[in-house]
Amino acid sequence: MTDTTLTPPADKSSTILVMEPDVLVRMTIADYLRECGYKVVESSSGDDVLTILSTEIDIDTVFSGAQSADESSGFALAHRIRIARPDINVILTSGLEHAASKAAEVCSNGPLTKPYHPQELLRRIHLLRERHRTSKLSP
Amino acid sequence: MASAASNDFQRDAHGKRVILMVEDEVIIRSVVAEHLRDVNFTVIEAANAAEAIAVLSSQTHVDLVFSDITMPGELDGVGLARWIADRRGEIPVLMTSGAAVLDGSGPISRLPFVCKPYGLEDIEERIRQLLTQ
Repeated sequence: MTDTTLTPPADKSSTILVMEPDVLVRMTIADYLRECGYKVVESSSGDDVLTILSTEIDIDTVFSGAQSADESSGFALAHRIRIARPDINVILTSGLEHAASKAAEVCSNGPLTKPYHPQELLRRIHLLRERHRTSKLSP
Repeated sequence: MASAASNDFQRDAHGKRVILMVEDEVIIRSVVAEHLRDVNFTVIEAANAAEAIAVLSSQTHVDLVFSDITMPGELDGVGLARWIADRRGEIPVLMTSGAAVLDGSGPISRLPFVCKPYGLEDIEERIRQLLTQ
């Protein structure tokens, strides 16, 4: 797996914008980062990230998957952010394991201690996906 | 039918009530969700009905769904409310829209409704009322 981290992890007490199109992955990673003490803003698409960055919401770090709900590339998004907002850290992840590993790395620098091991983060995501896949509730 | 009791981990592990907020406008969703977190709710954010259904069908514990009506995708908020009524009828639903009233007839038209724009304290109060009913 390619390490696509572009900049170092977030500093303490910062706000992280998590961009991830899969809601089950997004909410689990966002929860994990909140439990580490960060303020977290959630986005499912690159367009939403740019919308948030155009407001007064103070974002220190963008934590982005490689793809977004509007099918824009995380790489293209990272490039746009680095040009327009070089003050913002961008952490680009590729795949679930890489995302969990990077979230744990960010957590290590966070205000609070890691709430649980990154393998538990992965386990939760896989469990939610399996429940969704096999659910009799699904349309 | 799935039950929150079957979860082996709960989103409200800290004793907080869990709100699933379904709103496609990211700024509105972020601001309202942050306020609700500030006043001690756990908030799951969904950008559309499909994401809300993914959350609900993953058996994640949810105490109340707060949904916009006008949203992109195959299902709008009314479609989502029907889906919840059919499959997760134990979960209260609070609807919102820029329109003044909830159109239609039958059970969906009788759902609790709040008109946009709403105040943060107002929506917090409405949610607390619904959770204590």
